[in-house]
Amino acid sequence: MFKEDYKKHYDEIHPSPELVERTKKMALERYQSKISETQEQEWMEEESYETDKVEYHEEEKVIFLEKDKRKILQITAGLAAGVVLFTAGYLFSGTLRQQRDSIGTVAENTIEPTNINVPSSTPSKKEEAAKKEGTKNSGSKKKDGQKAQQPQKVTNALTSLAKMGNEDGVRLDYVSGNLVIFHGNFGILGYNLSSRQLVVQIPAKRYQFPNMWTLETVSVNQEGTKIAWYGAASSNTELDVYDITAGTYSKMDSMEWQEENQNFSSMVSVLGTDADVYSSKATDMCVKLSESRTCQLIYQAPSLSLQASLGIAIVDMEAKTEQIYDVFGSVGRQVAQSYGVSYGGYHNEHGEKIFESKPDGTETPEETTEPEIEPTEDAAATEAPLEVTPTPVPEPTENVTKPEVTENSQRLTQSLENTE
Amino acid sequence: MDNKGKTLEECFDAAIKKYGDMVYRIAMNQMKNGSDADDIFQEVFIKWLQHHDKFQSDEHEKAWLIRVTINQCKSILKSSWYSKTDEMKEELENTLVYTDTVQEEGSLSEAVNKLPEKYRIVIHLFYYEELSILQISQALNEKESTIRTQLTRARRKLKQLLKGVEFDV
Repeated sequence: MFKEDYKKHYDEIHPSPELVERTKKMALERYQSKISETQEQEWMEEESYETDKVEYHEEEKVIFLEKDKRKILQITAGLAAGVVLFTAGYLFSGTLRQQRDSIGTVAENTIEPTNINVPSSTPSKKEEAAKKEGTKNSGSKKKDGQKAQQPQKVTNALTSLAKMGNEDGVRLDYVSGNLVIFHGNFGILGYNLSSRQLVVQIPAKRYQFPNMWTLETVSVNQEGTKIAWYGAASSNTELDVYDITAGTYSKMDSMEWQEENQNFSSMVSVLGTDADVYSSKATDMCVKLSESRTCQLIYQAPSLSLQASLGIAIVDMEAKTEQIYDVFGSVGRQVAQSYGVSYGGYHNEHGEKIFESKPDGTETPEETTEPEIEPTEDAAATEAPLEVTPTPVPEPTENVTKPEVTENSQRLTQSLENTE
Repeated sequence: MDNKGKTLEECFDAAIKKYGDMVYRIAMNQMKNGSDADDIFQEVFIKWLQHHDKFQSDEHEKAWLIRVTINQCKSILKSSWYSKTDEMKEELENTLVYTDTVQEEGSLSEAVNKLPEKYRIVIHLFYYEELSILQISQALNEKESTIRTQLTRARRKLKQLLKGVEFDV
């Protein structure tokens, strides 16, 4: 019986007495030093307050302050600081309000506003109702309804992606031509490198995956037209096959998991390669496109100082070029800076620059002009239809120039005025 | 939690006696080598001493120790140095899971070691520590359904590796 054999095997494993002794000694030492540090701090604090008089040397004058006077001064200073903070907070919130008004709903919409074009998926009840309403109403209202639906679908997955912890990670599933497909506990996303658009978007919630990260068996066929993955968490080991070309993501078939289903024999560990600065923050896998070219994901989890961001890096070690495509956020700069290296160029695992970025401006242009995803935003807050005019899709060329935020905001303000 | 009247050293000895094996076995299960397991054992009990007066019950203490041990293992496994030295090796082993069948003597431990980490820990907590699915899900901070699925898949993989093995649950 497995259980008995297993127990028998582990019954023989014990920590050695030396290890126990060493641990005990170390733990007690650390505990004592921590206690003594705490006591010392307390003692220092007590001593400083016991002094009745404090001397301040200022421009060779010695000022004696009585203890009571010092207390009054402390209270007054505290009150003054409070007033200053309140005023600053009020003014800052006013500025934010003004900015938000000036750029319309872009700041509230958590999607990347310039590049998102999601194929129409199976409509929910809400969407169907909105569509019906749209057909009844006038043309302009119908357009607004449709505009509002498209970004909504993207927002949920991207918001959960932006909120995702560092431990969860993003995993690369497929790269071919211009299509890059990846998944995480947010669902499955596909990005077109040429048009710089999200072209596949399967939110985890919709298919009731409680934890997408456990689904290591997301597989895409060679043509990039079908995705297969495990169904909702159950003992079922069959993969559900979904069609991604029509954009409906309808279930086509089921198949038994076979090793051959893994289409990427060229999938290699990033950590095994000699040049990678992003690996510990992003996925641990990359796809080898040719002998010298690789594609990998760059994921920056949200932290106190950094906003979440996701990008795709195509590195050509032979040509010594690197192109970074931002799915959202300014990945390259943030990640490079967090490693203490200058941005713009490919670095090895020690943070040393191997070569410069491609100088012809093919890397993601003007990242700073894009409104980024706020990781703190609640996905539920985005459920209301957004009256956003989708910005035009950039031409599928190498030198893509994203529109300025100011242009967006002007267009949005105009569209808002028109709808009013 | 009855530590009244005991010195700190006595408390520590009692905890090591009660949970030392458990912590070390989980560490061995995850790390697959003694030197890493030693490090984890040390770190866990150093942390235990910092928290020893905050446990509400024995169950709380046990669950805390399991979780801290697993987290400690994860942090080592995810560290860049460890990944660089061990990633390729493990990946190679994982790919062999589907193709090879373990046939040598003493193959059980080898078969279990060939499972991915997340399956190994579920198997260990279920079969060795005899925790329920609910307790495992709490210790690993996962949903019950996820643990059930992982357990099923782990058993299936083990069956492939150890032909003819019987699972008594």
